[in-house]
Amino acid sequence: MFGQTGGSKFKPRQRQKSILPLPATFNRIHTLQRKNIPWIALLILFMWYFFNPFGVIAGMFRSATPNSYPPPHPLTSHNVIETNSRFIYPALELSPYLKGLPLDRIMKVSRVRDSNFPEIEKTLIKSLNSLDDPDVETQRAKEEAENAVSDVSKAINSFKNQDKVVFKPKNPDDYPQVIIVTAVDYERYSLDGMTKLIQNRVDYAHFQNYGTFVRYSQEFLPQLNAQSFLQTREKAKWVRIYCMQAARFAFPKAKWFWFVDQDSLIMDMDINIEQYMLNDDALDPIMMREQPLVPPSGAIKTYKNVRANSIKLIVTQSESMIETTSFVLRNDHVAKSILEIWGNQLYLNYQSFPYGPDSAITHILQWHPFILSKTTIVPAKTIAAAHNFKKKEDSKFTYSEGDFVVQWGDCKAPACEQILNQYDMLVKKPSK
Amino acid sequence: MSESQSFSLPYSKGNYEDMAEAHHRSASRTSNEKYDDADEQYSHTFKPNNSSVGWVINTIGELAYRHKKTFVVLVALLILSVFTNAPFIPHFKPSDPKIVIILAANEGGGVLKWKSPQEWSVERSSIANKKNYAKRHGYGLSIKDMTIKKRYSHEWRESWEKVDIMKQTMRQYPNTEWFWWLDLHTFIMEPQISLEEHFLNNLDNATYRTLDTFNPLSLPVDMPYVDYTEPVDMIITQDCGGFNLGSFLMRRSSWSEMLLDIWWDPAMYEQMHMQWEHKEQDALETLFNTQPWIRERIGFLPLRKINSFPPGACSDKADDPRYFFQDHDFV
Repeated sequence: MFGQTGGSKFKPRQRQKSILPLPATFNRIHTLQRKNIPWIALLILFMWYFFNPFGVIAGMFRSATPNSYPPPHPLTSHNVIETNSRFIYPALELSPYLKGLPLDRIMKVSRVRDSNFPEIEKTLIKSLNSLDDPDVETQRAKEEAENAVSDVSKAINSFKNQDKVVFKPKNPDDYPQVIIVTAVDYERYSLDGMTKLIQNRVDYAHFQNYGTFVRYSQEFLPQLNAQSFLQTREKAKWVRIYCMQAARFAFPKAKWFWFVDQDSLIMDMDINIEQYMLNDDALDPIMMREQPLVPPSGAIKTYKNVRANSIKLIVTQSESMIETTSFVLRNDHVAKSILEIWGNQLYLNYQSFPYGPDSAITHILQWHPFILSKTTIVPAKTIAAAHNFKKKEDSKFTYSEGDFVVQWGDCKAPACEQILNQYDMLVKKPSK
Repeated sequence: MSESQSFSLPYSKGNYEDMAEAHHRSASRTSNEKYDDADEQYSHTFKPNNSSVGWVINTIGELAYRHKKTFVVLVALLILSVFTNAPFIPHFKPSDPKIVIILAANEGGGVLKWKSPQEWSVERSSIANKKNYAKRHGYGLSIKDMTIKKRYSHEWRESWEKVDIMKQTMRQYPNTEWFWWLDLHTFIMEPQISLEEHFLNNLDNATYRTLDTFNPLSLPVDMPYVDYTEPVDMIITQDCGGFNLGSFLMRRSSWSEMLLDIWWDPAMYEQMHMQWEHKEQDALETLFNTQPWIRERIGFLPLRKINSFPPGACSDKADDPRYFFQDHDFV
């Protein structure tokens, strides 16, 4: 058992139960001998190289939190008003007070001269939100005081605060997948007509579990920067893009944004647009591939081998050009960049774009292949069937019974309301 | 030492010579005739011979055991060559480099004038410097010829080659993440610093995204709809007169593809090219000024981190220490 080896003697301790015998070489285990030193040095180098203890310690002292930047904010203000209703639309009952108000009452108008070109005076339109008190509570108290006094102030305050509204659901899983976006010009329709239009969007969103985002066209005058834009039909189309930008901000987690022009009605509320057109398997058969951008004989055509899941923008066409009375945009950063470059100031003020955003998007798609590869054209009858103004027989572009959406953008002033009333009676709602 | 009856082990049968004979005899009985050499019949680890895979491993193990020193040297060389960047050893890099340096060479060459010998020598040393740096850190290097070709008609898109070359290089290196554009007249002064440790590993802290601290062009600092939680896809610097695209980095992503596609647009160019004297730089400034999606993914570095100026550039701000080269600056 315990031999009398080397130096120490091992006596059995009284309290221990049993100890294994020590090996004979126990006293000869000296790690740090002279012949082991190179191996130990090599081991230390190996561990240092691969595990880098100094780096780990220095990394712990480096600040873990990145710089903090301000959160995104809406177009004209730094504060948001959160709502948990997925139907965002302006207060229509106040619109009679807004009609006929001059520009400097609903917006802050200033005239500036550029120091480099002192003879040119430019008009700058800014929202009244820029005059807000930075403290939210003070501003709210001020507005309530104003509202109590006069209905016109109430209308103006509601008009300007509409920009701040952002959707924040009570239950984050219950987010609407598709948002129906419309920009309404309160000078164009009567209160009754506007109510019908907005009610139509809200009804559809309610039946299909989507969201609605409606704004006044006049709210986007800071981006258009000239009231004359709203006077002509072609220039007023630019509001569509700015309204979509605002909608993207208000519903950050939606999947799709569908813009429907104010001169349209959703006729068949049974159709769920995702299954009808937006899902990959639904979009694939109706995408028009190798379709000239400018029918019938344009040189640049849409691509042949695009896949439906890479499409970010869906537009329609009329007989001679691309139309944006009804278009769909996905919610991701590429689509955001397409929308923003489409609405940039240099295109807005470009003289050679006769049809406003329609010409702009045609130009973009013709010159930029990356964007063309993310865009597709669908037949007009799917989401933008036109009202039959010229009383021709039904074609691929005009509305017939059973189509999803009808639009009558080419109307002249009093006729628009009549057409609206006529179609409003024919809207098919799902049986509850 | 006579023969013992109770034990049948060969070793116990006789003296040492007998033991050796007994060893051989029992060996020749159990092995097949293929093996002539006595050494190969026995492995010193006494493990049985299984399949051919095991045989290969066994053979290598045996060789290693026998020639320990050469084996250690070989393994060390293999590790150095594959995993590190030590000099004098050939390296086998199976994958594409993670960062590619695009060097814009031969500027000023082509149809306009002859290049003088000084210009050639500057070019040679610049290229050698970049080659050395790339090899040292395992980066790729792509030298692009910037001869003025007069391919495009008057002013129309001439000197906008940065965009085209960047697109072309991104196609050439499909697996690379970062592309670093360097003008010819630059010199990497501290080649031991790799880009990763200089700022790439610490991107959020090293770059600043808003212009509130340093805004030479007085661009509006605040813009609606900008979400700063997006990753940084392009790193540029600002000098005294605005953005500086002499040395910038771009990551491969769909954002970068979009930017490279839209950077030159005929409608925007037609309206603005009289004001855009620095071409892509000014176009990018205009885009940055008006487009929130661009602001989201551009990060700025202090000028001296990748592009310190020599005295003479930015001469109206000669005293500003932020622009000019000091000891231990990188480029």
